[in-house]
Amino acid sequence: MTVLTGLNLALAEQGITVVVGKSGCGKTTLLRILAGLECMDHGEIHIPGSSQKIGMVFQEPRLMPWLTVWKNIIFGQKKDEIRQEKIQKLINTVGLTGFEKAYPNQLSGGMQQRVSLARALAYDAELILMDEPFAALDHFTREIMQQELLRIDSVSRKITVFVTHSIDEALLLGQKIVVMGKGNVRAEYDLSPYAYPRDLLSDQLINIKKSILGKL
Amino acid sequence: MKNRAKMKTHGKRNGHGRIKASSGLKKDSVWRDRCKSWGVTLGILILWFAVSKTGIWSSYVLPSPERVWISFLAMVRSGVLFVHIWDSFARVFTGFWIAFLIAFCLGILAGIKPSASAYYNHIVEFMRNVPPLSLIPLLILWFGIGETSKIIIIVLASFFPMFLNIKKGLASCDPKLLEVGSSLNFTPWQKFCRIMLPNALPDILIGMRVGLGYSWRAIIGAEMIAAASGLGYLILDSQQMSRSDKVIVGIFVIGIVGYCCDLLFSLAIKKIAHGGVSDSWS
Repeated sequence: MTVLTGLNLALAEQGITVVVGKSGCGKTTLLRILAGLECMDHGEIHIPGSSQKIGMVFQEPRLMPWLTVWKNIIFGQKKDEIRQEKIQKLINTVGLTGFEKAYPNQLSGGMQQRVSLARALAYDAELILMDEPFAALDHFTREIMQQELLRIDSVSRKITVFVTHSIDEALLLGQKIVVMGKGNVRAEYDLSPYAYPRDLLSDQLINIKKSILGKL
Repeated sequence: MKNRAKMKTHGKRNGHGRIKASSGLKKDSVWRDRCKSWGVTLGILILWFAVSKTGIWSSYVLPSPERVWISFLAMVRSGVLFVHIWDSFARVFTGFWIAFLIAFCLGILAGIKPSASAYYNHIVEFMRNVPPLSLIPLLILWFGIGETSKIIIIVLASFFPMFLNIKKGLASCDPKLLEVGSSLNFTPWQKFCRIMLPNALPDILIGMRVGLGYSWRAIIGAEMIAAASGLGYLILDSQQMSRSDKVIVGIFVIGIVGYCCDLLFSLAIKKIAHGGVSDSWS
């Protein structure tokens, strides 16, 4: 079955690109192809930078049930790369202080997802792919995580591709918004002129939201 | 909002209290369970004692507990019992580890390449349904009545539960977890060592536990047919000497030694597998 056809997409050299679209339009497939988890029949991908490190946050937490939170977070790192303070800082950032020795089945779904996010960030990839990572979080945690993502993005030169269902989330996070439909790109919006934190109720963003809703 | 916050803390406190209460209950129920199990054991012993006192059956058919105890003490004092236990144990130990090594290697092969099962599936099913004891005549013919034939019996008896569990554990690894490995640039070897193997550990340990039980059963049978020592031999020899008290001593020792081995093994498993894994077996 053909999922993506005629898709042409350029990612910014750094910053967050948000992909929105209806269920089944190929958002996840696009991410999986970028991550190298899926093969494609035709086409080309050029990944900038020398490093082949790609961090991925899946829809589900996908933690190793036999490892503690700490060991899950350092799961992708080589022994000599692990820096204790950095990991501890990351754990504080995602709000899991004190849970380092807990096992995944002792955590709530949202907490597990935060561990999974910390694992991808600890991996220190230049390209981070996120597949609806905040969908399972409650409203307050999601806000904190969104702010945290923006903070991490502002201090590191990373490329983030963020897939979401929520147009509001896209407007809050994206420097570029890609609207997908039926396997290709319907529209692209450049939001880099709008500084963070953004006010979703400002006229320009409301107009963009209307325009996106029209394209979906 | 305030109200909600209040409710939240209240709920938390409640939850905490419940956790404490439940741990107290747990301790209580552990004690109650212990009393139950010891009570029943004691009851059976008293019944045995009472029945043998009435003299309904002759002491040859049902020896009294004190007669069994006296012959047990005599066997302990002379050291014969320990020689038998040690001989059986040494055979089980050797055979069990040989079986584990073979099952582990073949199980990995089968778990990693499920498609290859077409080659061996019918042979495995065939061999699994042949009781190892039925091979004794052939084994004696080929290997004599020495240790080799008994160890082969144990290997055959304990191989299948271990092989099938190792295979199942490796083959049932969630592909979603393996994808995490791919996304972290793991090599196939790393994926195997860091995801598949720990994921299969509970199944491997269950297989080992079942296999150990099977090897105890098989060795007693093998020793009853072809041996000059061991617990199985002790029982058969006592039967031929018309010493049913010694037969009962043998049965008790087999049961207790097997029980202890299983207990030690389950303790070891609890030490090794913890966290999310500890709930997946008991």
